[in-house]
Amino acid sequence: MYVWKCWRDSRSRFIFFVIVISAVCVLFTIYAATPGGRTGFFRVGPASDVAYLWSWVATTLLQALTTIIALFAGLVLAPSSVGQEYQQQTLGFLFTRPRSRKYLNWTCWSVGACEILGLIATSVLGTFATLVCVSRYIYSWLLLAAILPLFVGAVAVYSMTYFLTVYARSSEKGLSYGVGILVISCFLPLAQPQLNHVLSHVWYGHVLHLASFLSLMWTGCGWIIAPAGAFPIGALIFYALLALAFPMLAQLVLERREV
Amino acid sequence: MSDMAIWTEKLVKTYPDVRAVDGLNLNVPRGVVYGFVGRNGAGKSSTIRILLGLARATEGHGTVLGFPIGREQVSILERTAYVSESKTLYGNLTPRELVRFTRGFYPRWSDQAVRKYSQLLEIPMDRPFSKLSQGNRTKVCLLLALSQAADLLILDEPATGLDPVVLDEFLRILVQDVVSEGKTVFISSHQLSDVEQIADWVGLIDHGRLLLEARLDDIKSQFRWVTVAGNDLPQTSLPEAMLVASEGNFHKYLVKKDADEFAAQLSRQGATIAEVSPMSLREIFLALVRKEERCTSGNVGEIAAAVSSSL
Repeated sequence: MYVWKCWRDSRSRFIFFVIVISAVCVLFTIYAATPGGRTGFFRVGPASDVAYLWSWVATTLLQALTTIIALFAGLVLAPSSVGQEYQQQTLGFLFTRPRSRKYLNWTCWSVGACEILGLIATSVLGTFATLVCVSRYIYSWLLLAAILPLFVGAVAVYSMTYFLTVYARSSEKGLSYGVGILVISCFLPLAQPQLNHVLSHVWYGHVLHLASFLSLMWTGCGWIIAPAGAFPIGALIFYALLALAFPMLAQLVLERREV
Repeated sequence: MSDMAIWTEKLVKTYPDVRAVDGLNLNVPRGVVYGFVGRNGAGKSSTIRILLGLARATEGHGTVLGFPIGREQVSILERTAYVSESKTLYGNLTPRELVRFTRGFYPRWSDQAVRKYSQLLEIPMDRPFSKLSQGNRTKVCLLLALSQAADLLILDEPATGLDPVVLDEFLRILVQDVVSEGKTVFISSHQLSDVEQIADWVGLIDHGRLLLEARLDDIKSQFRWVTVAGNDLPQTSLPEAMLVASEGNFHKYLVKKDADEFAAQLSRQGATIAEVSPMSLREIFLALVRKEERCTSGNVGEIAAAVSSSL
């Protein structure tokens, strides 16, 4: 039904990202474990080398590459949503099926969120399995917990773009706005001193939350291997709520809008 | 009003620059083919969008199959099949995939109907919808609507792109397979000949108002052209007649009831009756719509009400 339709529309993009992210994770892990590779580690070695390999993979691979790919996937998967129905002018057909707009909205959003979860689980589990294979040792089960911050961060971006495609009635416009907001949010920390100066009494301490799509995933992954300080549980909850707030907003827009 | 398939009272829909539906009172009985006719922009599609919950009425209320519009929309949509004017479906899906997609929404879906109508209408089931001709797109939309086993079919310009053979076949399906099972068909169209072929009831809309709503047989048996020659004849005030045209000494009346009696009255006033002739739906439509064009906004409704209420 509609789940099938949503899956059919986004499956090629999902499969593409699964292949890319799996290949990157597995190949980089093997490269890291190869003599002459990043760590100089080969197969079973001293405990310190194993720790270094696991640490390198967690920080470089999951923190950097997987974070960026997951964010990009969040952006790219969102446009195959209800916003696309606007663009294809099929919303009239969809909304005359006997289902509430609330159901259609959440079904569409859930399919994308499940795809992101699948994507991130594939990358983390693939990395974990490859690490275990090459080192023949499980250094830390905690690596699997990287799924959580990566998923929440990527779904927050996905949800934001999803809402924007609905609001703008166009998947292309929604994607453009999503990219724009993400780029601005990434560069916002550079302007922190100025912003703090201008808006110190109003926004202080809140402005940087915008940039935390990345930092949540980044610090969340880093903490897993080197748990210095507290796990960013507050940011995790904040972005989980944000990720749910956007589809709720999309629902409000859809329920009030005429076709 | 649950005995009505569609019932509306004083339905109004306004957009910033236009009053698309203007106090519409529709009464569509169950188990009939109802032709909802009007010019482009008359308010047909706006009315349908309100009935299906795609748009909200600015004022007024109504029911579809006994369910209030806007409040129990899912219940309405479970029992109603709709073919839109645009005939836009997912371009990347084939008709077979569209059937698969649509089937899941309807518990009463009939695969037997899919097989029957896809063969009957000669639909290429495995070509993407975007690659189909306009006629075939229309056929796919009709196939999906017919297979839902709905109690009410709302068809907005269903004949778009259909060749005469397929159109004839489709109209036959509507009468033999749909209406004969007690279902209601609500056809919105400006193709009067198609509507006249199958409709039991006709609602004529213009500028968002209902000019006429009656059984087609009643309309055909009672509406007459009365052409007379004479001086000092009634101009517009007779409730059962509308002066449509005057040229010199000749006057042409559209008489909605008791044409022979009307002619006799005029005859007693010294007029010479040149002709009393039946009218086609097309002639009635043109006469009423053109009459409205000549009227001011103040008296259009009165004429509409007079014509509707007397039938």
